[in-house]
Amino acid sequence: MDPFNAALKITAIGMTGIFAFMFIFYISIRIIDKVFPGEALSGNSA
Amino acid sequence: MTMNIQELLPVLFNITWQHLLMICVGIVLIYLAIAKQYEPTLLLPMGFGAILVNIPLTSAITQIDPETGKAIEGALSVFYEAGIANEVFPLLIFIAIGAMIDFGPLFKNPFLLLFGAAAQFGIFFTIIAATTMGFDLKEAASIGIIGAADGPTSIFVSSRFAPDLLGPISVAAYSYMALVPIIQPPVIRLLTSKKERLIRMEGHPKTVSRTALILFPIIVTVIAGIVAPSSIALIGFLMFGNLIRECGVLNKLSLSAQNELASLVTILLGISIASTMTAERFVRLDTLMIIGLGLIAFIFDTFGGVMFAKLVNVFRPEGKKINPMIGACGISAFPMSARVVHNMGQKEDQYNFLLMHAVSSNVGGQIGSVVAGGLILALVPLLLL
Repeated sequence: MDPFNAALKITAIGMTGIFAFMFIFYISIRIIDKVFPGEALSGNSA
Repeated sequence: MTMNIQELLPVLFNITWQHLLMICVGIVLIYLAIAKQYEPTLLLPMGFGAILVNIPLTSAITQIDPETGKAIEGALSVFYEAGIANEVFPLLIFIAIGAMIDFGPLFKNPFLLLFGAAAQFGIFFTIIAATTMGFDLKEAASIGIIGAADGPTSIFVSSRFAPDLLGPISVAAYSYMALVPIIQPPVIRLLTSKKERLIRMEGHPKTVSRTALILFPIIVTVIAGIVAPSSIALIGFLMFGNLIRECGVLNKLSLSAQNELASLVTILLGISIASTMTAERFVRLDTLMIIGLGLIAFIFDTFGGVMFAKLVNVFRPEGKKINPMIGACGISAFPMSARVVHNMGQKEDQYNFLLMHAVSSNVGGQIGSVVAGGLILALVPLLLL
């Protein structure tokens, strides 16, 4: 495959992949937050 | 026995204009680091290293002894082999960065995580642009990753795919990260109307549980490992650093990672990268093209983030719209990008406080850039089969 076509393919798969990853992380955050709702302030002082 | 001046000062007779140019580049990097404070922790060691490796017959890098034909090892080449060629230094930096990141803001508005995806568009646009300029796929991917706005990710990817281009890519990545306050505002203004820049966003005042913050890095690592195992080193080390921070029982290690580890590895990383900044490798047309493509990457990152926010707003009711400037913070340059957008918002309306939203989006960008790096590492070899 020539580099230009390969770059187009990487763009299509890459952007879809990043959005898919972020969407999974988004769902994960929603679930974690539901199961373990806020009980303390975010993070520690480190 | 008589010695002529050529034997006494061989450097003077071996120096070329390319060496002198590179020494000037080193001085400019040191100037930018000290006078302008552009990413001084990296640009200063790189600038000084550039001087070290461009003095002819330097002992700082490995040279072939013309008399014996044997290689004489130089310290910077040894550092490079020990920490960059095998990707250890960038990964150690990821532990430090992970220990510095607070994912709390993301829990307050997790939707903004998606901007961390949209604002990686510049990476891919630049990969396409680089291939049209004659770079092969591996080189183009390494150049495109400048758009991650994340130095260690750029170094990690380019040291694997295009080690010869590591010097210019690192210089471009760190320089443009420092120039975010200059690059982003005009692009944002060009893409948004005043009415859009005035949009106020609701706050999400809530606390986040410690358990949630501990579980998040573990879950992200497991998901990333299942979906893209080749990204696991990048994401895993970042999340490991974050787990040290959030677990609450390793405060000493967390502080060490944020301070001593970050400082030590940064010194070694900067000066080791300089071992690739020799005149033979750096004084080429490719370098100028990489610097130009790096700028394109940052511009199209901002474009991707802002345009995605505008697209999302089409489906959102009045009162729930997102200020499109927040999209621009989906890059990894933290907290600079968030600060830039907050200041732009305040310039338009001094009572519009966008900082928390901007920080959430910016934290999303930190995750997004690492995911992008991991995906590129996985995809490029597949497409070269």
